[in-house]
Amino acid sequence: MRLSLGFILALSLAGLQFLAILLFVSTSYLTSERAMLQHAQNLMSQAVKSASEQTRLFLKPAGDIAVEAARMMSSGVIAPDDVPSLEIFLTQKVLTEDYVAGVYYGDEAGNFVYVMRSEGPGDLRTKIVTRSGTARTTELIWRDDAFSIVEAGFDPQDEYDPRTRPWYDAAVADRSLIWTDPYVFFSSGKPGITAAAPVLTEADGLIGVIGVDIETDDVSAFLADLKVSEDSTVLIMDDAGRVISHPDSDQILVENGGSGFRLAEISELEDPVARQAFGQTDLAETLAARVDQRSDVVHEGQSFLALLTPFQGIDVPWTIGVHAPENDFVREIRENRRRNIWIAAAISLATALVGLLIADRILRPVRAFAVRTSLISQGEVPSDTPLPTTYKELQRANETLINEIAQRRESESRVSQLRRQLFQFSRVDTLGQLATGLAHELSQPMTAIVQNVDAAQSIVSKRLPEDQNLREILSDLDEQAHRGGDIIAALRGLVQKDEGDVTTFDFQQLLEQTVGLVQHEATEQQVRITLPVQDNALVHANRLQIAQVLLNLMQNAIEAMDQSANKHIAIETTARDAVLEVRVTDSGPGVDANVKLFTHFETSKPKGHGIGLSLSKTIIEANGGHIWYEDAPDGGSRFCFTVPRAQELS
Amino acid sequence: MTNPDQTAPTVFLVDDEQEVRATITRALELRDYPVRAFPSAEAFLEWYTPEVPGCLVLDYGMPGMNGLELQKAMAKKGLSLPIVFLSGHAGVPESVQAMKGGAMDFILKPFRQNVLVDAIDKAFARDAATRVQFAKEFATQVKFDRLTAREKEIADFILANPSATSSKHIGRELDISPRTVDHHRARILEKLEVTSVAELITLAGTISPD
Repeated sequence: MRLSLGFILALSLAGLQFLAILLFVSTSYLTSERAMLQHAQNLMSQAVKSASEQTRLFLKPAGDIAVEAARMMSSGVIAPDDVPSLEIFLTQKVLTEDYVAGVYYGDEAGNFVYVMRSEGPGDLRTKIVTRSGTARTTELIWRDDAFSIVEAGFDPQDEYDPRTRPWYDAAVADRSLIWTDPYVFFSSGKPGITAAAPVLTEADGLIGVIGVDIETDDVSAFLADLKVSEDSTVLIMDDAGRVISHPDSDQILVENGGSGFRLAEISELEDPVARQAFGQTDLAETLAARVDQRSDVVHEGQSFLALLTPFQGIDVPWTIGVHAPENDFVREIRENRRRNIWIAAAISLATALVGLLIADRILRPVRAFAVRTSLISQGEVPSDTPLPTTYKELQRANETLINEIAQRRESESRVSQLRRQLFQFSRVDTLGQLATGLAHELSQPMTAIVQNVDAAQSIVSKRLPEDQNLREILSDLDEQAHRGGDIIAALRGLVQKDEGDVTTFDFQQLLEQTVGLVQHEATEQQVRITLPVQDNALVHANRLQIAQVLLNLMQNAIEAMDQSANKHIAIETTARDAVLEVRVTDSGPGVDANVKLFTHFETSKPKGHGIGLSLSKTIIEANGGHIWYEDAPDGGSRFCFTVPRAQELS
Repeated sequence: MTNPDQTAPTVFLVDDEQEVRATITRALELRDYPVRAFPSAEAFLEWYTPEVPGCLVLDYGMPGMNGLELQKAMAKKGLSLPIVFLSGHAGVPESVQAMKGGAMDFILKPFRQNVLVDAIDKAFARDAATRVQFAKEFATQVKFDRLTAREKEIADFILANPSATSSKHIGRELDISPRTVDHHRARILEKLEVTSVAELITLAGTISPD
């Protein structure tokens, strides 16, 4: 199917527009999305750094307290066995920071002084375990914030021995500040950890251990405030996968088989993204590698960015994780892109419409031209109809077209005029020519008869005695022969009327028009016809009769070449003195030497009746020329005839 | 066919149709006409020499050179043999052409024998007259050819100016003495076998100017 120019124009206009916008939108989208994701990674890195730093700052004072207290006791500023002073000292330490839940001191003998925050009856509670041999006492003292005793008593059931506690063992083993694993404080039910520092003699002998309890609730609180993006989550885990802090601190604690609470593991969190992002990771390994670990997580069709980084600054085996939905960073860009694509589509549609309008505008003259041209070609309007306002190119095309049409019309009309004339002529003339031909053919034997009669009469007249009967017979014979002659003369009269039609005409032109008559047949039979190039070919003859002869010869040639591979008719003309000699040569098989050409009723054609060539002979001779046959050099046949040239007769 | 001698006029028949050629030849010979027949114009042209008297009976429509063309070719060669055309066609234009070219007659086939015989007799008469005239001209020409260059000059002057034939006048014009003119004039009259200038002018009128 051939598309309309207008459709192509509009389509390509809109298509190009759409492609250009799409390209622009998508590249800007890709770069800005990449930039935003890069930015998101940076934000997340900063968030975990910040979380790490804040946590460090949060833990450090507890460590400092432990180390400071241990040093003061080592140096003897605080005597380990001076329980009242120790109690005061420890109380001061508890009150240093809000999140310090309690400070205590245990020694190698199993003595223990512990000051902790209390919910009642006083703000603080002191527990003092004193051992003497196998005897032990446990005293509990509650005080208000002014250090006045609110209540005091003993707890005979208490069996607490500091030396059996993990913090004690770790500090003793390590001989320096240690941090315990996170756990849930028995007394407060809150998660926390303990910093423990050994109290050593100058000779590095162990006296006891100072412990500082801190609650890690607050870490969760500030992690909740630490936002990378709207829906981001920062959490801290230890190397065993326990969750130390999470913005939603309620999730951290799980019931521990009916005996209080324990810290939740990652897999127990109600945070599915965290479970997916960090649950499968070997946190100990991440810690050992000391590198950030990024991952992308898809949860319920939504993409999340996740980052896991080892906690630094304090010697605890913790990692900080952060996850945030990708959309928090690129949602706007994506929405923007969607909007842009819609805009692009709308612009393209608009452009296409405008394109259609413009194309229609551009095409209107072309369409008008096409309609006009088709009307002209169908002959419904004359070709000189004024051209509507149009383009220069079309105008030029139109001029060429009009010229072409005019020329073709003229030559067609000449050819068809000749065809009409020939049709008319052949109807009227074939009979006449036949009569002439018959007259000519009959006149020859008739002449012979008359001559023979005359000869016989001569012989009879010289013989004596004269045979009267024979004389009369011969006389009768002579009369009858002349009657025949009269009939022949009458036959001749039939064509006399055509003979006034002799004119001077251009033979070349007639030849071209006659070729026009057989052109269709020639093309169908794939016959090539070549014509002479001659300028001055004025002849004086009966134009239609000469056309008839040319037509006969060409049709004969076309028929003769029916079975030939190479089909070619060459027509040549040569001016010789008073005549123009015309040669019609074909590439057919030639004519059998036994066939007597130009004679009535003899033919070499299976379907011919032998009149064409005879008629041609009659016509040519009647026009003062003659016609003959030659074998063509390459085996075909060549018919030649002459026509009087104009200057000799005019 | 009889071999035509120098004096007997002969009918030269040219026709491509063998039957026609044979029957006409036979009929004419029975009427005591010497006949020589040719199958084509070319054959006739090749054979014929102008010394042979007679006439040409010529078929108009023939392959190769046709009758009209032979007529033209003969005119071109200066052959004055009279021509009687025979034709199977009744073409008015061709008969007009033939007659314009000096044909004696244009006879349509078939024809009554007396028509042909009359035409032949007329043609023979014309040929004979032509030959007598030609012979006279030839004799006169021979006489003129006897004159010397000077005599010829004077004779030409006399013929060109028949009103100024005095010796004085001629001598002045040709820058010679009247006596010399008189001498030449006498020689001219003697050579041309005439007795007066008037006779000289009459004699000169019998030959075609060359």
